[in-house]
Amino acid sequence: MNTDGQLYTIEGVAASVLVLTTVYLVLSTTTVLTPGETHIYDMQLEQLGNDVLAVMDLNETWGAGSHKYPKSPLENYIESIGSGGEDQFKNHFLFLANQTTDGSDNLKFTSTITYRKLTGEIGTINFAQTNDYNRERAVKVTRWVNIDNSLGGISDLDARPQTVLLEVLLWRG
Amino acid sequence: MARLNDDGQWIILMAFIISIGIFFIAILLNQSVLVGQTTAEAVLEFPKADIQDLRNEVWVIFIRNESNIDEIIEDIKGISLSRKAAVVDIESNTTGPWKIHYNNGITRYSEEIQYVSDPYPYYYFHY
Repeated sequence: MNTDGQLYTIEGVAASVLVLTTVYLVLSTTTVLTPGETHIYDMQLEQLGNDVLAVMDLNETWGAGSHKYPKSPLENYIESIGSGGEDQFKNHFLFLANQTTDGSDNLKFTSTITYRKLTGEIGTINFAQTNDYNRERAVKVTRWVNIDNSLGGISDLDARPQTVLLEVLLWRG
Repeated sequence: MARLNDDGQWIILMAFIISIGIFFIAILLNQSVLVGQTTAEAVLEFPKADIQDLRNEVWVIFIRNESNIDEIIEDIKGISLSRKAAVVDIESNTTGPWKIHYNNGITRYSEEIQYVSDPYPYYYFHY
């Protein structure tokens, strides 16, 4: 058996291990890039959703009406659940959220309203939505909304002025 | 055993330097990605919007001045605990300052605020 070149063989094996390790490191770092990027998109989407809800919760008219503080569009939409409020909310929300400098974005959402009864029971009812949620990458934005349900227009809630929590699950589809 | 051939030592030295260089660049790339991720996560984790929203809602409750302010405050406290995992406390006050406390286990926020009771001049300004 020819025993020449044993050192060359060992060096070759060591070099191949070094090259393979480097290639593995480089490849694994480039795959880490993706989750880092998606967090930034999540952050921007959450900011957008919060801004849209804040704008919708500002009253558009500033007159001295019978009520001391005029109702915002968002409050009116929630107070008229079951009589067109869902569609009005959907149109207004998508109009604001889908604005881009070129064309239109394609955001999807589903939303719920959480309320508390005087008994202490906390419940949730469905509000407007564009699609069912099927585990897409989504962010959740919320908004406290002060509504007056004294007339009992929303049967699930107590008939009194109260604060409910609007939760919107938002994703790009 | 054959005598070791010592030609081409410069080539081997350069190869070592380059491979070590690639190794360090890979570490740098790895860390820069982590920085971007942790920054975005820190922004997502900090409840900026929650606190702004809560402050605005307390102001609306003050302005509307409904007869059942205590019930409305209990709404916020109960819903906040069950849906947002945040402890909220609001102390209303007819003439003096209101107090707002917020704690979600990571971020704690407290403030004492004196509201202006009659916003009407501003209404006419915007009318």
